[in-house]
Amino acid sequence: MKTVDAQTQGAAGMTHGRLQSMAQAAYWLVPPLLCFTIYWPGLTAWFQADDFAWLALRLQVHDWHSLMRAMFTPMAQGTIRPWSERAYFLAFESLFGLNALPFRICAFLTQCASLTLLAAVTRRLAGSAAAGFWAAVLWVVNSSLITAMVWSSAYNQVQCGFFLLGAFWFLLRYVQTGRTSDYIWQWVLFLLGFGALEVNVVYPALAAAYTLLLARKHFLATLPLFIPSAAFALVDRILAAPQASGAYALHFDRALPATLLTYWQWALVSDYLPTSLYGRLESVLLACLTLLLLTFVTVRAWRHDWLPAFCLAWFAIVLAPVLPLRDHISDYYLTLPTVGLAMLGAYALLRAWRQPRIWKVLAVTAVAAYMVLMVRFDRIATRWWNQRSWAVERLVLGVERAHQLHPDKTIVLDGVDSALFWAGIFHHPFRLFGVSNLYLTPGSEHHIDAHDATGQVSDFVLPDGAALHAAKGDRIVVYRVGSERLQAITSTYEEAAIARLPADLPRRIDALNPLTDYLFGPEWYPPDGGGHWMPRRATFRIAGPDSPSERLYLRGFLASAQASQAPVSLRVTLDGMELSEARINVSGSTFEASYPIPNEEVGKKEMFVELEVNRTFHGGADVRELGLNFGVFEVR
Amino acid sequence: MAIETTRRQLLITPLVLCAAACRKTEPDLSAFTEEEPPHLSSLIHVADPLVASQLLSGWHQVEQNAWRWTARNFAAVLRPPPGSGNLGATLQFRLAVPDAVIKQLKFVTLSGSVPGLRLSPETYRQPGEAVYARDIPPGILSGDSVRVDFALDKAIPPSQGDGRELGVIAFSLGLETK
Repeated sequence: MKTVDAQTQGAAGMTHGRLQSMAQAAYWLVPPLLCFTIYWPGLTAWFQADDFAWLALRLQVHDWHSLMRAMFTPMAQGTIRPWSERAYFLAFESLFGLNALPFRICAFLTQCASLTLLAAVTRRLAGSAAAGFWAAVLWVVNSSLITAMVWSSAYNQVQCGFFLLGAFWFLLRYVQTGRTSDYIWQWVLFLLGFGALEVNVVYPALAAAYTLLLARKHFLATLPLFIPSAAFALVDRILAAPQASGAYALHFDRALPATLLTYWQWALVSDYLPTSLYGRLESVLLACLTLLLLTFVTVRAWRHDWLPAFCLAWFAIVLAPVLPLRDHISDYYLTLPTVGLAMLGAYALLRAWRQPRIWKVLAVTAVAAYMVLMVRFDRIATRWWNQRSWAVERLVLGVERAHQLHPDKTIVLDGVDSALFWAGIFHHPFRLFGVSNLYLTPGSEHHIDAHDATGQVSDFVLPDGAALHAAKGDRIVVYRVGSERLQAITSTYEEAAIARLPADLPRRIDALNPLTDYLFGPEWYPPDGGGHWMPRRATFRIAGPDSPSERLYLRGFLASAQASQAPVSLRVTLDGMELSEARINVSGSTFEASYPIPNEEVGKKEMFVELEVNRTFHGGADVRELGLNFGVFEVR
Repeated sequence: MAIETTRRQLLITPLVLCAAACRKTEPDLSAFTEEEPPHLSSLIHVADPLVASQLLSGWHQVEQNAWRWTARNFAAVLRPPPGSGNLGATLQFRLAVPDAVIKQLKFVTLSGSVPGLRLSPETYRQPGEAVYARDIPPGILSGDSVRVDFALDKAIPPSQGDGRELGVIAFSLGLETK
């Protein structure tokens, strides 16, 4: 009997042990599994938009020197993110080409590591395993993660989150153990974070806020962290001179509270239109969650429990760098600030669970409502991003195929819509496989929304006359973009183009477009990928202005061999009438000159333009006599 | 120690598998476009292997991926471009007369023809690039294809060093609707 009891107890003990292990495994695995479940379309998404700029970085790398330049030269608003953008894209593209899956796997695995870190951090801060679990869950469902989980260019947010949470985790360990190794690891992760995203600069403020509120005797140990942040901020300011206008201009004005409120709303509920059913539900939920959280922070602070205040401070501190970007409010800027709100929510849930039943019911209802709305929005938005990326994939790989089949012809696309243009074509994905000339059929601009601050659709549209000329010479292949693969329509398009397109000369000439070569005189050197060079004198034809106020604009590129030379004088003659001479400063990388057009030219279908420079040069081994290198001629 | 090794292997194995699964290969892109039925081209770059079947006779092999020597007589088939039946077209033959040809032959005269029309000849006395361009009036170009024949009045005969008869260097040949 004793033996049986012992066996039963042993078996029960083993079952209990196994259950405990399973519970522990579930504790750490559920948040990452949720991440995969909710954002699954993000795992299978392809590239889009800015991804192509980063993928093209590989084209600039030829040796060690160019690799270093590609890794560390400031780009796009002066940013330097060597790990999260440069190394990420260079390494994965070198290994896997245009296979997006490894990029996405890396993003998901990094995010899973961050979720684990958040659970561990909150568990230690709140002294509760449940709080850690719920913090990870509340963060992973937040819709601010959508962009980061579906778009490779937003990997910087994911990677920076890992470094921020990792550094903070080691700070907590250091506070508990006092071990120097923990302090050093905090520094290592903090310094690495600068290679992920500029927001990392706020880490010292997070560390200082935490120690000030919850571990004051370690406050002084956080102050040296401000030194690298200050140095980074200084260097960043030098490299990325603040913009006076445009989306990235900083506005320290009355817009700040409004921007903060917008982000607060997006952080607690998604951004459905308030008129929809979900929108109205959201407004109610937003008010309730705001009231509950702020009351909770105030009551706990009154009782000298500063953890909720720290969580709120995390949200404000990490959001602070992007608040002045009044004209560039983006949901993914909330990826890292919402860590603070997730910790706050989890801690509030924990405290409510220890209160009378009414508080439990209130807390559970609020969390459930938050999760239902967020998950629904996550799924809709993630699927939208995913579908768009697949449409871009069909387009880009279709054009690659067309280039394989017709290497000597210019590819023209018909039926491109706004989403496809701005997520794909605008970012020149085709240069990745050597296609530098791709155009849209005339009139395509009417189906594409204008975003003048970002770029001009007209730069991509073939002028009527050029399309007609190309159709007559069978120099193009035309494809219709549909919901499936690209469909070749060259024959029918050419027939229709010859029947209906006017032969008018364009008012804007892309000098690199081979289909506009009929507008240039025989003096020009053939255009290449880098420009269209004239010798000392050259001619071209362009349409006249519609009104006397319009001018002739000439834009082009400057070679490094010209940099040390004196300005070039450019004489322009229109139909035999000499215009005032312009001096072209050749010290930069581009130039632009504009000339008033005589009234006699207004309304003319064609103007004959002669250009003449006062001196030419020879570039290195190039034996040609080179004048200026042009990109665009325009009457506007 | 054994546990450490196992853990390391557990970490490394998925990475290796992932790398192997995602190995970079040349993708088959044929499913990404739906092409028109094959037809002749109106403009041919003589070095393009895709249009080699349109070069009927008198063309030597591609050199430097850009051009071919012609023989004294050579011919190609082109597709009349859209609208050319009603509007007429321009035949454009981009060529180069090499220095060696002028040194040996002093000058060469090139003439062309399409069925029903003899095109006026052109004489080249200087070495260099040139375009032989001739108008073809409406009504001549009909149907899906047109044969274009060229003839030089003389060419460099085959020699011991080079067994080919050498006329001019050809780059491209095309018809363009007027």
